Amino acid sequence: MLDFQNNTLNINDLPRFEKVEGHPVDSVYLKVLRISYILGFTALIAAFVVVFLKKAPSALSFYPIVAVAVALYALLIVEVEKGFGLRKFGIREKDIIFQKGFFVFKETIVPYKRIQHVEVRQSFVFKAFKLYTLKVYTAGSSAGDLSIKGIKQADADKIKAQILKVAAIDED
Amino acid sequence: MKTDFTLPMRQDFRGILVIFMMDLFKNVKRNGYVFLPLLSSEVRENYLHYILLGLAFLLLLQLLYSYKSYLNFKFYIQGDRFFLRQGVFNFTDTEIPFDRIQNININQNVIHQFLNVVGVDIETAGQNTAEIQIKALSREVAIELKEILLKNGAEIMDEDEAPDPKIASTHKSTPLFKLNFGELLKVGLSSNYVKGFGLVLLFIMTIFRFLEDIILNIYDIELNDDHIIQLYETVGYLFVFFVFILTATFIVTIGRTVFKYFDLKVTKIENDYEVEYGLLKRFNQVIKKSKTQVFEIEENPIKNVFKIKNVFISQASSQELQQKKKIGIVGISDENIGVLFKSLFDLTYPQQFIYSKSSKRLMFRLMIKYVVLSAVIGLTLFAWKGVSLTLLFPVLLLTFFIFLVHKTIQKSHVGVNEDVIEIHSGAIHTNKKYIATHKVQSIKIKRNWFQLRNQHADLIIYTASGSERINYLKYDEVAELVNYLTYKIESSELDWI
Repeated sequence: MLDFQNNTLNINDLPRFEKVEGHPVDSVYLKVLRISYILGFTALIAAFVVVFLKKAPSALSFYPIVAVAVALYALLIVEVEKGFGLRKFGIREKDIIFQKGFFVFKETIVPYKRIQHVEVRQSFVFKAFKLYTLKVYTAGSSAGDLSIKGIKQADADKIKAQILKVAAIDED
Repeated sequence: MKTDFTLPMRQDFRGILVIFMMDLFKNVKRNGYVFLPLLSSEVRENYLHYILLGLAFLLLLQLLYSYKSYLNFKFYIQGDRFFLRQGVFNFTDTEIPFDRIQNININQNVIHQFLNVVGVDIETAGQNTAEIQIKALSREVAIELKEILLKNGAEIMDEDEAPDPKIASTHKSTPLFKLNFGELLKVGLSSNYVKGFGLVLLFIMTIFRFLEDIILNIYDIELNDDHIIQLYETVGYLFVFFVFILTATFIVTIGRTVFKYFDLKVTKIENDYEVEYGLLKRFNQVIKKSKTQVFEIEENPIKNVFKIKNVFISQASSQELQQKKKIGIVGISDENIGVLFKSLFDLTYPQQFIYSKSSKRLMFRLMIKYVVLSAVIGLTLFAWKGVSLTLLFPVLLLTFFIFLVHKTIQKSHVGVNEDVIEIHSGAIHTNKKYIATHKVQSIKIKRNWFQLRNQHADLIIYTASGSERINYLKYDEVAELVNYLTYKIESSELDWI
């Protein structure tokens, strides 16, 4: 175990990120994800059917490819269905946390202090469902940036306001 | 100061040639594949005229383009701002206030050296702001420009304190460290041979087509021979081939190091360090305390015998950092590492840390690719030579890989203390990276399906010069580390730049 007794502060008194209560993203986003994987799956199957009818490929090479593609797609569906409940964001006084992923569970923590700018945007599909994406940029590599997809405008504005408030306090 | 920078001025007239050559190289590098058809003799015989004509035309276009871009590139200084207008079809106006200028690098590549001019790069703070490249100036003008830009910047920043023009004008530059040729050879001898080996292999593969005929001839002879003689011959050829590859790797690796770090000089200028090295392309950069993100020390068994280490310093940059962009101070002694560390972190080196180690389970993840690689090599050998080599070679290879993985896991750990994070990695060599806690940008914890069940996690730390990953730590320890680091970042008054 780690032992921080050298330090003047007691490690057990520090705020714990694991204990933060997460807010789920909007359930409408699950609908969007479902529609997109159903459309994708249909397109995939349609493509296979067309290839099968037009080109009459040999069974030896065709079926394994179909099997692999379907298996990969099944994994994607499991990821969406099982992983959706795990998509949560937490707002603390000094940082923002976002977690997601079923097969690989990822938690990203960005302190407000290190945020360069915040972006609230709406893609074409999201517009139809009144959903927004909140993106937080740091000076680090883009992989370390945080992006919360599929939240309501009220939530997006709230988070943005909180970040800007802390930034303003820091300026003084 | 002789040059009047307030009037718009162009680059040195020799710049036309520099711009032309640099653009030409860039285009040839980018579109080099169009020359591939020339390898076929049929194309060469039938279309050579057209190709040459086309090339001449393109060359002319390039020359005109470069000339125009030289004519349109004008810069001047007004007040405390640097202005630049450039472009061929579209104009771009850039304006940089002096206090935004982070660094000015003067560099000289082969073309520059030939024409006796230098290139000047102006680096600015902030993420997406343009970095300006002046491709050709005479050395005197470049140094004048550098002094004006940097001095004014420093004066503006120091305005609150009593400005003392005497201190600002007399540069306190003291040489810290200089690498002579003998020491450079030591660095070359002790560097990583894998890259050199890769280059040699690549070279051999590209000329393999030309060698194929010869090798096929040898095979024809062999097939007629007795089996035992054939075995001896094959082993003989393999041995010669092996020695050849080793020698080539040796020469290429040492050559690369010598070319890259020729005449390495580190000079202390006030609080910053200026680093300069290179034979063909002269690299010149300033290490600033505020910009420094990652301080990396590399050692390996051979380096330990020579009592030298390599130091690489990554500074905040707008692009994703690659090995190329790191500032390398190679062949440095422990004593000088202490001096550098002290001035960049305000702390003595070495430091005490509390460590968290990677779990042995990391072995499974690391072994997967090695097992696959060994299997592929084994199967290729099987198809090529039959059973004899197939058994021996992959087994040897696998043993080596197991050793490598064991070492990797042994060396993979992360340590923290009050001010600094230490990230330890490497297999045969040892790599220690130091990051000041307040320079961390964000933190990510990754746990795959297995790790969620066995309570382990990967930790990724993002800085303004790339990310550092430590695999398979205990989840409890990661949680504590993350809580501690976020506390450190959020309670620190210090900025990351």
